[in-house]
Amino acid sequence: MSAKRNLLDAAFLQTLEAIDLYVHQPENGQGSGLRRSRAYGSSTEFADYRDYAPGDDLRRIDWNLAGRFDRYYIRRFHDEKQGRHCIYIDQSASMGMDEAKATAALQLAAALGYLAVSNMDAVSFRLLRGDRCAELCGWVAGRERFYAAVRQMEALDFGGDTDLGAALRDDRHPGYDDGMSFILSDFLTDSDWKGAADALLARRRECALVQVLSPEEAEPSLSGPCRIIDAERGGAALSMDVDRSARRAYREAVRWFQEEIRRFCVSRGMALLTMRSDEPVGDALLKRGFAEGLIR
Amino acid sequence: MSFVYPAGLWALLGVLALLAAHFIRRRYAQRTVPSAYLWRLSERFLMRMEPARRARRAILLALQVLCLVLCALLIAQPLVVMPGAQTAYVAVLDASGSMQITDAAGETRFARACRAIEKDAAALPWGSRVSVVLAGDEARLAVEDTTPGAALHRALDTLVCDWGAGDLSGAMAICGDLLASGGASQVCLYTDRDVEASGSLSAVSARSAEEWNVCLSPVTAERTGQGMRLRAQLTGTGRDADVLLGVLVDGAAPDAGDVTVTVGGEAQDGLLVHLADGETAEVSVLVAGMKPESSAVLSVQVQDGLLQDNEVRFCGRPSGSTRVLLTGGSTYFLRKALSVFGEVSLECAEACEDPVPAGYDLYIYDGCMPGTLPEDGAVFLIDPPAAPEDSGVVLGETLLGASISAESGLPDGELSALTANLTLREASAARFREVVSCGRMTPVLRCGEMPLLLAGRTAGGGALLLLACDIQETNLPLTADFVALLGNALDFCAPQPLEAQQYLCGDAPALRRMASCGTLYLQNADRSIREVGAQETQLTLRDPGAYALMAQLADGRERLFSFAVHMPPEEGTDAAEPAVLHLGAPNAQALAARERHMPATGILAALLLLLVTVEWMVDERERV
Repeated sequence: MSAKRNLLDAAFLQTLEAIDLYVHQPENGQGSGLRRSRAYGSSTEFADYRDYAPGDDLRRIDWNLAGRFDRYYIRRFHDEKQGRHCIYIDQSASMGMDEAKATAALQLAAALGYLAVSNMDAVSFRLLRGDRCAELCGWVAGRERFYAAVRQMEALDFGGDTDLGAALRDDRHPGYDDGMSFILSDFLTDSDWKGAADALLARRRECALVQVLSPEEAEPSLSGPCRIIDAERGGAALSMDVDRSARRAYREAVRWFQEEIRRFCVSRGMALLTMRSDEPVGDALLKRGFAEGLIR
Repeated sequence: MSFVYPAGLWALLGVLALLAAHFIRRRYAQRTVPSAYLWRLSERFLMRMEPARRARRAILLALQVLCLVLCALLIAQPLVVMPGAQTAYVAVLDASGSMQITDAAGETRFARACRAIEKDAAALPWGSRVSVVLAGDEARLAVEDTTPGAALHRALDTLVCDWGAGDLSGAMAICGDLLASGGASQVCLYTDRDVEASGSLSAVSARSAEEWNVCLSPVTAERTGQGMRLRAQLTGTGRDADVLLGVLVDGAAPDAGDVTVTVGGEAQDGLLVHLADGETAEVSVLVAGMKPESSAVLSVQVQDGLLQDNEVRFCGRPSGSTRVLLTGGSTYFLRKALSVFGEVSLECAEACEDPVPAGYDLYIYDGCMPGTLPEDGAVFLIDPPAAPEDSGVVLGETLLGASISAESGLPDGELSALTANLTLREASAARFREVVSCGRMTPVLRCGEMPLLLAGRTAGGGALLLLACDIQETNLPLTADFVALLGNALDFCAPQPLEAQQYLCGDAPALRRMASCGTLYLQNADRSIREVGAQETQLTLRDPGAYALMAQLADGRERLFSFAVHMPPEEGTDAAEPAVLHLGAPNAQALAARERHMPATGILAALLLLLVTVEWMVDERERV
């Protein structure tokens, strides 16, 4: 169990009050909320007319049109639904080896959750560990339950090897066309997480990838002959003389890897937010979140 | 291949140590990273960027092993046979004053000779070595076993020509040693002298057809009733010339009416002298009213090949008096005789004082002697009641006199100078004290067979003279020998720092110090002043010009001794006799042995340097 973290403070929450998640129109939201749905409902926002059919509510007949065309038309309004967002948190050892990285990832998850509940949406924090997906505390709607969830997140610990693709597929209730799915991870895995993300898209979920890297991962400080051990899997992964050329190759690999994720996101119309754990979460969210169309 | 130090090959064991160290050094440090995913990815990038990366470590190890092998060989010093016929070339470079004569283009003979050496060395077979023997005031091996080209050029650039007569015989002796030891196979003399070379020696002339020079020989002075007559020889070489004589007395030109110039016995109207090529003219300049203590400079005003021999000096009598304390009851004759010497400042005392007064250059005690001899000056004891305790002299009875004679067989130097200019034809003493033992003193004069005048040194290092008779008991005061003897005694007791006032470049006159002399300073020809160390017993005079020795005496007085250094006259006139020089054949056996075993250390060192550089470059790419 790691030391308890302080994920949200008042100043940061005040900043978040001014922004909202950019969610497209969900069709299958549950209950009423503030998200305009593609389905017709009972909001005040006019959507369309249709011919009157027996059984329709007479209060919805547009009498002005009836007087002009001598036909009855029923006014239809947009429905406003509650979005249901899933935030998947990679709970592998690679995310928790650097405490700053774990904290940054959880802060970002909490911030996204707060944006959801503050706009009348429901959010569910789901933990990806091994090849399993587990809910942190079920659906969270309303700030009281959100703060309770955040307290649980503050005590969250990381460890083990996560098969990101398998764990995402293990989610039994990923939802269907009712909100967004955020995947928070470093994506430093050979697992087929892209297939899992495609599966979420197939369920008409809006997906966003959030990649968190520590400074050590972006610019390693290793030098000399090293036997490199993977924190997730244990055992020697490879032996290498880390010299100037090796560092240059590493930087090339990081750049290529990030480009690869971006290409995938662009091809799927997914948002991508990349941040380093040594930068403030607010800065990353506000500056790049707007640019990526994640928030508005 | 043979080795100078075969034991150095043990250093090859270091290769094993290097291999062991290499594999120990390859032990990897374990480092845990959050995820090895990116490292595995980077490995693929690395292989694509540097396909030969895996081979680099092997290359580095091979280079290091090679470096170590070269180090071992450098220690062992392999001897290899060098291809081609090498020559051990020895150039004897004349560095006498005449080699500084310049031609019309301003190039000296010395520079021309250096150029000729470089040219001749460049024509030698590959692998030849060049040595240079510099025949200056003292011959020496100035450049040893260097290679022709830049190294020889740099070495020649550092050589300086002297002003004196070159020591060619010394240089030939060095060359003889080199020939005998196999250090020389060819010897060539680069000189401006006429040389008849034979044997292994050849000669190259450094003269040029575009040279001409006028030379004045050192001046001699003669006191006449009218003033002083200065004489010098004027020689012109190379071409006819009209030269203008110049005379300076005490730094100023005398009145034209006071100067009479005679050239070759003929009186001249002015100071312009016509000098034919190769002609030597006797120049006599009579300067009316010139005093013996005045200094004079005789010069020829002409822009010839060598300016240093255009001016000669006559230095007047040294300045500064000799302080003499004369103690005794009846010193009439001594006072009279000492008054002849103008530079003597005489003070008299009736009896010995206690404590002994200080600050005199010479203490003369006539018929008495102080309890303790003064240590700050010379002491002349005349008929002392007893001999000084530390002199070892034992005086005996008073004996009846005999004729006075000089001690025979005195070594040349200051002791023999005590009897200089003495005739002692009819000198005799009526009575004198018997000298039973001379102790540490040396007899200079004898009365009959017995020592009469003894010379030695006081405890303070000053001169000590002991005359074992009363002057009034001798007939010396009636003869000219008395003044001459006192003059010699003054010179012995309070000598001038140098024997003469004119020297030639390269001379090294002995330095004479008075006991009362404190710090001694030398003003060189270039007007620089240096302190003459207490341990210096002679001066080395290299440059021509005016010199001065300044003595700071113990009592604060100063004495100035001026002297002049001239170039040897034959250096400016090329009038030296042709030198007949011969060198034997080189020692073929020693030469062959030396050629066969050329050490390869230079090549090995260069290879080592190259390898280290390559290794550094390869290693630098790896370094973080």
